[in-house]
Amino acid sequence: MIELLTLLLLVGAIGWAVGACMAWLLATKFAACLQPAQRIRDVMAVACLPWLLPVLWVIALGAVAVGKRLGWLDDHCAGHGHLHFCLDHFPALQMSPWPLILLGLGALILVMLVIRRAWRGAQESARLNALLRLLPEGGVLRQIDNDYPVALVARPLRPVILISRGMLNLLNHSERRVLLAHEAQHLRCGDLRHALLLELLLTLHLPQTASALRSTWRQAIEERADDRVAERFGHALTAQTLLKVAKQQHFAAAPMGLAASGADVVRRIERLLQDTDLSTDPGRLRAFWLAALSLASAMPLAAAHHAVETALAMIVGA
Amino acid sequence: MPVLGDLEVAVMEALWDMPGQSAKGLHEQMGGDRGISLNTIQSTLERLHRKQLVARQKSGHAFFYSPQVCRQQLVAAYMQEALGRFGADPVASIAAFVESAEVLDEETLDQLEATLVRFRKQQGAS
Repeated sequence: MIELLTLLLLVGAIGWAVGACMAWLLATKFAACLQPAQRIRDVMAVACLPWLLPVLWVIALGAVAVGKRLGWLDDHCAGHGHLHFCLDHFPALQMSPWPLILLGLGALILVMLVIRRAWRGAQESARLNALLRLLPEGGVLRQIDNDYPVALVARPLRPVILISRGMLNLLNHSERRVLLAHEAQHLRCGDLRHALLLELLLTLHLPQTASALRSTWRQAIEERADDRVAERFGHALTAQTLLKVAKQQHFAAAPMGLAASGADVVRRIERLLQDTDLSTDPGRLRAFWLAALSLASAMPLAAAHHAVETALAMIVGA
Repeated sequence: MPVLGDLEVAVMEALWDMPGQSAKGLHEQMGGDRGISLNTIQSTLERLHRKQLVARQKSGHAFFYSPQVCRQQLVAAYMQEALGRFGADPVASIAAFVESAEVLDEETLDQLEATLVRFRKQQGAS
């Protein structure tokens, strides 16, 4: 059984590698002219690839072993001269221990990555809670006693909107409404919860891919919130509010290395002030097609399981 | 900046309201409401002293504590830490209205301003 598990883990590892490479190739292919909602869906779809492919491939090949046991497939194992996916006649040959050792190391690295991500999340949460403890009690909206103009939503599971005194003093009545509407959009769309999910999915990605996907996603959620606010308050007022805050932060006496959202404010403002309607551009990347492609890649594996078994046997040195 | 727990913040707030208190004085002030012992207050003050957030002066047999940072300084420090970059990546659990604009140059800001003025004129004309 251990040999069967090793082979399935190896299939999973190869599936991960293919998914990670596909994601790396696709990560920079998101057209800025796509609707923000479309970009968000596509980023999530690409982020799922290194998870989806190994799971589908393992299920497809594991189904061969289960199918033989259940009698759905003919028991043709007698003619096999190589390792094969079978619960009854496994293994046909002795396998080198190295593949299991290497896969074990890979699993250990994965666990360490997950722990590291969780640790960072816990530290972020602790710092945020430390800040919230110092703020006056309030509901969803809390004021920060600081002159630097900042406004943000925080805490995915019990969200709050934080606005500094500097921000409130900077903006006039209309601009404050734009600001609050923008932050409220993030709450309404569950952007912080989705950000957590995205961070989890990005654990299995190459660092460059994760950074590109994160950047695209962050830009898209800000632009989506801008669009919805602009529908209500007008493009000019929304752009004016963004520009005012950007200028104040730029000229602040004590600049803060704030990089909370990672979104490009110049692009956001330019987009709001463009004449052309961007909503009619067709998307070049579709979450649906990615999912279909992933599923389609798994089915031929099950059909051609002999070739897969031969290849895996060569890899593991059997 | 060290992260403070609920009790540590409560003690700091009490000291901001009235600096130069002893552990016993703080316990009389807040121990009853929270159901905490004098030892707990003393331990908390000791931790805050180690974190260099409070200073202490011995008078007789007791230490008297005063805050070394004000609330605004602590808030600013936490803002910097909580909202700044965590390593090379943006913090995942927050979304800010505008990212730090210090890296923008003034020419870009002026161009955006001009674009906004043009946009308003076009809107007004139409």
